[in-house]
Amino acid sequence: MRTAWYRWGPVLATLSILLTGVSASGRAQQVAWEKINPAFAGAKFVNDDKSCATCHDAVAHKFDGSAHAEYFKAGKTAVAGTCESCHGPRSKHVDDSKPVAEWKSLTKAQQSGICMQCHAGGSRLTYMTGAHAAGELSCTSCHAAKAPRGGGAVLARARATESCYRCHASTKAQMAKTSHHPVREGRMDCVSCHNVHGSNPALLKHATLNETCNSCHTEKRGPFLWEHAPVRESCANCHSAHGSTNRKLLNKKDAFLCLQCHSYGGHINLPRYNRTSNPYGEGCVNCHMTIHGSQHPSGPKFTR
Amino acid sequence: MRNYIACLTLAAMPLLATAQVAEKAPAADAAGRGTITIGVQGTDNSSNSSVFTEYRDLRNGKTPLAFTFQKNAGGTYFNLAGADVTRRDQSLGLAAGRPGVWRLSATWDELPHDLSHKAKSVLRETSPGKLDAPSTMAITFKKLATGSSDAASVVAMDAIAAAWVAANARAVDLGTTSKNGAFALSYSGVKSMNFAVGFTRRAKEGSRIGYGPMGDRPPRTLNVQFAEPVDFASNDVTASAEIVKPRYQVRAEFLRSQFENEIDVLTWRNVWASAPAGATYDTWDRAVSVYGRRPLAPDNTYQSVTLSGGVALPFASRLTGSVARGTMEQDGALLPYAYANDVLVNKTLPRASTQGKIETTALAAEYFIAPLPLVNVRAFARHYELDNQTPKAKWQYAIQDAANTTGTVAYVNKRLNEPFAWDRQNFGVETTVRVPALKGSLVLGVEREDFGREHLEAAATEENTLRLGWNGRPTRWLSLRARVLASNRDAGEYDYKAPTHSYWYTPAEATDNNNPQFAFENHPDMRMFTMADRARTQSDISVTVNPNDKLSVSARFKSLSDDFDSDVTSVQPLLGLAVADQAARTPGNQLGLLKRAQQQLSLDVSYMPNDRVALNATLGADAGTSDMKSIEFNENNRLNPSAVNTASLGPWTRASSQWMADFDDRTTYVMIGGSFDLVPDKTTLAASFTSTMATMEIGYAGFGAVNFDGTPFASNHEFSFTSPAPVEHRTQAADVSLQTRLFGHVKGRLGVRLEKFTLDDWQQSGGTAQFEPVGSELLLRDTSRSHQWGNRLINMGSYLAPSYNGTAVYVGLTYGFGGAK
Repeated sequence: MRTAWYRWGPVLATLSILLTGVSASGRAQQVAWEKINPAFAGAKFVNDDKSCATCHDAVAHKFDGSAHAEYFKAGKTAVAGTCESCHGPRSKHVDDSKPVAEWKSLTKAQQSGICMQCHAGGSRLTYMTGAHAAGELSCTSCHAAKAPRGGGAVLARARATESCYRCHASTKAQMAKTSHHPVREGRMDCVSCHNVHGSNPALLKHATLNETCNSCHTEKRGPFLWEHAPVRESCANCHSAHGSTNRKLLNKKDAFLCLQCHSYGGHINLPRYNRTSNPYGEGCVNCHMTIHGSQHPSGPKFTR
Repeated sequence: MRNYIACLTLAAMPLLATAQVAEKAPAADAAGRGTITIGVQGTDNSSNSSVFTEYRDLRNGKTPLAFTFQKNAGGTYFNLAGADVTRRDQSLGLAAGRPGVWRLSATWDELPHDLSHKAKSVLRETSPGKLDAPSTMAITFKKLATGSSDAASVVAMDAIAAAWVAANARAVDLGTTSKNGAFALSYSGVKSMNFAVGFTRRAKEGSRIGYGPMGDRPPRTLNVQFAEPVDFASNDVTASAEIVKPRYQVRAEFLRSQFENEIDVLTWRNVWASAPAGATYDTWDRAVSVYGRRPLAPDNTYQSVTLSGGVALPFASRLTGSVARGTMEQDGALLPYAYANDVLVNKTLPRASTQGKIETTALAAEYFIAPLPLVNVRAFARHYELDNQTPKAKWQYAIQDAANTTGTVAYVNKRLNEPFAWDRQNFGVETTVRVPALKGSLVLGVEREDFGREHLEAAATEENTLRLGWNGRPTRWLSLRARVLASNRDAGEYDYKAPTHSYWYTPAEATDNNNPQFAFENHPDMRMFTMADRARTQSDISVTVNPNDKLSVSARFKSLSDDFDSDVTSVQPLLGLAVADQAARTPGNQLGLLKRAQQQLSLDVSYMPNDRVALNATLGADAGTSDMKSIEFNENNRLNPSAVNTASLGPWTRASSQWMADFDDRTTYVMIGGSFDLVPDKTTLAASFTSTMATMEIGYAGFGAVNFDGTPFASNHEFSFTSPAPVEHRTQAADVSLQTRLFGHVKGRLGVRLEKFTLDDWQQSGGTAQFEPVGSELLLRDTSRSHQWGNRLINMGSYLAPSYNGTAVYVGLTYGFGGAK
């Protein structure tokens, strides 16, 4: 029954050995700066970070320990200089120290476009057409290129959830409920289920909620001999993934959840019908326990 | 059990939640640098509640090592981190790479999910998937319909059952541990191209709450709650390749996921199986099996291929699109209809295995353009199709390992396994117009969704949505955001007879007045909310005030309401049938979920007066309400409702058999925290307090509170139900931690965490007006004390995860080497 999953190990190890040590510098492409801001017209790249540090010493010092600084030292810059990779050609600013084409003067889309010089791929492929970009958020709404405090994502805050809760405070409240995913324990966070750079509905990692849930809850993926239609349609028909006062993230107290849709008659139609199982414990699921789908030939009522 | 503090310790949880492996490479450091943390921890859990340790491995004694290590030589970095090593919640991580060329990462995470430390079960796993009891109980009385003269026999039988349960119940571990390992390798050394491969294994083992109903449906069902074994794993392999150019990007991804269950079948002993000499039995018209058996989650496979791309187009526009195709398959061997299959007349299955297959197709396209300096437009189109190709067949099932003594089953057990399938199309356009004079942007959006379903009541639903929003920053210190949404879903014609197509018995076989195939299955006035008409309104307002760089105050209000009114009218489901009651009408009141609403209010304050102090506070409230309605009727009188016009369990035509329930679920929360650099770069104090209070009330009225004629039911009546006591959850937690540099590269850490959790839930208690303990909380029965067997539930105990007062204290030392802080 066990798959020899370990057979993949040597394949991947061989791949990694072949790739180790191969080095090639690939520079990202340059942005059309004058199109982003006409103030850049005629400006040239200074390509001397020390001249930036002359006036912006505190910022330069802060930047020096960041992930971007290390990547730039390895030669992975958009342009020859490091500061100008993101801030554009600054010859005019050097000549005249008045602020020109400041980062905060750019639109959110323009700011994101600059980051996309290097970060256009991967999960960010659809960012510019997604809901966050449409909501006037730029990359620097959540990321701090100069002073990262997050693990590996150059986040402005220690955890992804802290960035998300700034706007999605209602989700923070739901996460505080008794039945919850282990987000507040630090074992999951928003990006466990959401691709915040994407454009799927609700910015989920996959095309549907079920595909997202089933990526971890693979035992519920099926397909089953006897399908429970609302389960196959959406997990949210019964569950609140962000948190619930009811057990197992359910939207409603047991029995009443099922009674929203089922009215066959007899013991099905009442929260109490002469049996302990209706009002106690897990309600209908006390007997109908294969509620996500049944594999048994005698399972059309999910009692097997 | 109380666990006393051995010595002062520091609450390590917030500090060592997961191993954070930094992807950034430190300054060139060939020798490497890092930290090692050791400590001692003590915990106290007043009720040994599993809620305290739900997702954490908290225990007394030495804490396991936590460490970080970073090395950077010649441009190649290597990072290693571990937290709670050797514990059930340990995490380990490794990352190595060469910036912009390749990156390798490997992680190992373990996550406990404790469900109960006080569960007791009469069944124990004697071999993988087999639950047995050392003995079975001797049943002295068994009767389908009891009268007042049987009361003494019923009570005596229950006493025997209680004594048997007390003698055979043993403590069981209830909970699981997930062990997840992941490996990923990416390479971007070829100009404009990125490649990646990955492998993830997720394994879960332990036990969860399971049930073993036995017998031919209520009223004959016996049930026992037990610890159901869990032992399964999934292995995922992913690969991707992409081209990233300035004007276009293309990405291809592949995923193969395989789920495997080490335990295919669960078998459990029917503990009610024995009948000693002299037992009083009436005619027992069911053959009930000595064992119950059901399959656990079957092995399954999922594969998907996704191709996505984006291209920059003229006028600062961008088009992205994706195509994804997925296949889910499962072809597990099927069990027989019943454990004691030989007693069945019809033993033959239509096929030997599931042949389960579902194919999914997802298409998406989005377009963004800024045609004018102050205007941008976003349009999208999505199509998703779930095609269920599992073959349909004619099954004749046995209910819960029981059959008639003749080996036959009811005609209504002739069912087809309908392959539910659906598809969805979404189209939308959203325009944002900047209004410089007002220092904001106006957003207007429209969206349409078309949803199609097979084998269900609503074949096609359509929904139109209108969105309007404003984002503004009228002053430097004030930001405003407001959005409203209105949508209307039309479910079209609701075919309440759709479920009847899943039966395959002939009219001649319907020998009673149930006959759901030719009458109706669900009451015709029921509207499943997933397929009902829906009018939705939603609003969202947020205000943020930043008077200076030190202070930020945000307030938000969000409201959502759904009205599922579907213009239900009275219908005559028996028209055309050769029955006396063919003109019978439904009451015409919509049943099911009628309305729901949610309001959320929050206030956030963040104050950093200087570099050494950071304070934050969050206050909020979350209120959810909903209304639902249903009706009680005798399913055995579908064709002749008038025959039960004066019975409590009456006809489906009677409005006074309806009941209503309204729900009020409110949560309020307070979170306050702060960090203080008492001595800069040396001593830091952090403190937080969180309080969450949730109350859930159900207001119940109608049938159940009273009989159809308005006569109140006694609380021990078989149908009696009234508004239960409010469910209350209260959580308070306070954290204080102090970290200081002691000497050289050594830091000391001290932390205390206090938690209090209070739970009051009628559904988990040992006794209410509806059910009562017999001898102990491990055996419950309906207060009607009717001996219809569905009244008895052997369970693992009330409040499996009870209230508690918890404390965790930690003292630790961190040594930094190689210049690490």
